[in-house]
Amino acid sequence: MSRLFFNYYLDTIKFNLIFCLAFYIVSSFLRPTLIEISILFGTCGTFLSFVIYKYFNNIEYYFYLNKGISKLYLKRNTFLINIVISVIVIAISCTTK
Amino acid sequence: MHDKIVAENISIAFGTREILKCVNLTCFIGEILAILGRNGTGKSTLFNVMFGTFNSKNSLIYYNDQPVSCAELKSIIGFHTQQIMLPKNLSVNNLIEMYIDPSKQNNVFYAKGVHELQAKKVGKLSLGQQRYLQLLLLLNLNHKFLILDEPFSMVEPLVRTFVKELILEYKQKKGFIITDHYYLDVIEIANNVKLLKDGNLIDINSFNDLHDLNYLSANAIL
Repeated sequence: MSRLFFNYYLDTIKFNLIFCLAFYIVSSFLRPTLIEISILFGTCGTFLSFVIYKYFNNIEYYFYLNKGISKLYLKRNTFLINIVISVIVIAISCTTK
Repeated sequence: MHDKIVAENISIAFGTREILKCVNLTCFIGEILAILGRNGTGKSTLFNVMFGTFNSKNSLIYYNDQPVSCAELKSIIGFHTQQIMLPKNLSVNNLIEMYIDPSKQNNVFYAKGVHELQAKKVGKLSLGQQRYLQLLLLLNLNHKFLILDEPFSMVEPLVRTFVKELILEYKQKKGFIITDHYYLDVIEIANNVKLLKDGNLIDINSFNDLHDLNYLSANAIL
């Protein structure tokens, strides 16, 4: 199950990273900080990645459902991991200031 | 006694249009139940209700006379979707290792036609190969029942024969509910044929019934 979840996680995180990078480039005149980008990654970026995944790969949820892995399990764990990554990045950037 | 799955009272309406009207169906292990129907008659909707991904008020699904929840259904029934559900970025090898229990992986690795696909990514396979691989994977999961939504579509004639052989081979261990517009292939392997028309499931006993119920034209080649 963990390998299957990891596959889903990689599929969604690439949308999230592209979104965060695009946001960074578009808003570069505002000079967003690493903390702001991390918050974006853990919140809006994660939700947006679910929306984009649903748009392009919605049928793949059946691949996971057939193995008894629900959408809720996939989304909840993806969200939790992204929040943990965000908190770690924020903590590191605060301590290095 | 064979295991059985029973769906009772499945009703679905979109707005004022009733797609399914109190549909009841039973499928046993060892049975291939064919459900034919024209486009838009609600076959996929019915399958989604049976798989637990679509809610139908007042409907109940029983496994061996015990009511089962939507979550439990997914461990009893597998769903081969019309579209390809396999992740395109994985190699066939990785996909099999990731998806199938180690004790059953050889059933897939040594199935007809899989050897030459193993190093390729799923997304690089033809649609027919993807559909065949999807079926092979689902057959080797632990579900007692399998819903097959158009397993013959886009599959070349030779592979269509493999698919029929596979379904008949696994029929001893599983029950199948199958639909496809390749009705001759479906009828060839089915024990029980029904037609979904105007929201009702109607028993089919002969090709004449399919003509009479306007599923086939009068001059359809049989």
